[in-house]
Amino acid sequence: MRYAFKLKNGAMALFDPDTALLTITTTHGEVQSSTIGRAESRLLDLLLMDPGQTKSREEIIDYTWNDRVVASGSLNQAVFSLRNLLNDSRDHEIVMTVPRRGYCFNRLYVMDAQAELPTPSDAAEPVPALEALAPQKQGPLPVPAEKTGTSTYITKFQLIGYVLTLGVCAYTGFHSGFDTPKVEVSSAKHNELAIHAVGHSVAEAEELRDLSIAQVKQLSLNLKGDVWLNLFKSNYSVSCIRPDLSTANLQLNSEQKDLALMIRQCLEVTL
Amino acid sequence: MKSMTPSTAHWIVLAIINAACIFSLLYSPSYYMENISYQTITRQWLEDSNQLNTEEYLTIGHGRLTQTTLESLNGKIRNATISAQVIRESNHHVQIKINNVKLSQDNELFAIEKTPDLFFRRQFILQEGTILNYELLPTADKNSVCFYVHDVGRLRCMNH
Repeated sequence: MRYAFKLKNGAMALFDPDTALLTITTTHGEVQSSTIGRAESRLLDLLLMDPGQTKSREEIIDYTWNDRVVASGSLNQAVFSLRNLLNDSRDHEIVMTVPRRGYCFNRLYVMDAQAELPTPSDAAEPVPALEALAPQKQGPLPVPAEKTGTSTYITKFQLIGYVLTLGVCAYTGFHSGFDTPKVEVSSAKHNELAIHAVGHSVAEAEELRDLSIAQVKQLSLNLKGDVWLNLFKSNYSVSCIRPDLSTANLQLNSEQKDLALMIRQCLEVTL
Repeated sequence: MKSMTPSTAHWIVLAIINAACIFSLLYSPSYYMENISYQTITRQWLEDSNQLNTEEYLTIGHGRLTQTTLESLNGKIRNATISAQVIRESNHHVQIKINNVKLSQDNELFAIEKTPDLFFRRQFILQEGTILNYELLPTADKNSVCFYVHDVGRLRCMNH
């Protein structure tokens, strides 16, 4: 048997006296579950059995402490703690003090737990006899205790999922070599000749590409194949894949030879 | 139900990210073939106008890289074999650590004093423990491989 009631800030509370679990769902949908103390649990249970009905101090002490002899201060402490839990410590609108008679739970705050929280497990349970339904508009639905447990469980799995995903992403990044040095390649085609200039920046690669294309055009060379070019310090490297799919590589100082002639020589099979 | 919607969305996002990562790991094309011997010839004009001609052979596979170079200059021949362990590998990059170097002779064929830059670069490459970064360049022909060795500014195209 569970009891549902609302709090003054619009939050919804669900209390399970069997487990002493108090679940509060805020207006933002956040769920806070806590197991309250035995005295507070018994006190809340007794008051919620008959909301709106005043329970005497003796009746409360008998029920809460099972006929054990306790000081009256214990009841005051339990009421104080319960009001703090329910955010009712200032004006006592929920757990009301009836002068010289005892305490009662304000029935205006009580809701129908069965109607508000339909769960399969609730179907077989008896409906608590609540005297009054909340007369005002109802806020967000409270989440039952079992739901809260499931939510926490999923969150843990989600955390594991995030960690694993992070690991997979890190491994993928490591495997893809995203942190390794990279060169830029700028390509251009001239008839059946493809020139790929390699540089440490796009501008460097494009400059080398434009230079080589201009020289090839200037000499009116009809070349075939794929050529890769690089300028490292003052040395040109020319690597080529010829039409017969053989390869060759030339290296020389940039002042020694014309780039277009190097490309032609690289593509010549007689090298 | 209200709390389940964002939860489901989380799982969907996680699944998409993981699927994308796994897909990129499995289906990205590699620019070279493993355990295939690539070869090429290289001609280098030295500062003293001599020509250093080399034949180079390269094999990458099973976490190892082996490169053999036969070079000739004015009738003199020298060969060098470097064996390296692949310490990182992606579809476009291979990072190796040289762990064995074999030379037919210690002396270089070219005049060191006239080509000091080439000499120093070779000293770097022929040092055991050296780490080199190969960046593979996309080629239209799958039987060829072109790469740039960042650490020494070396560009090569090889075929098999």
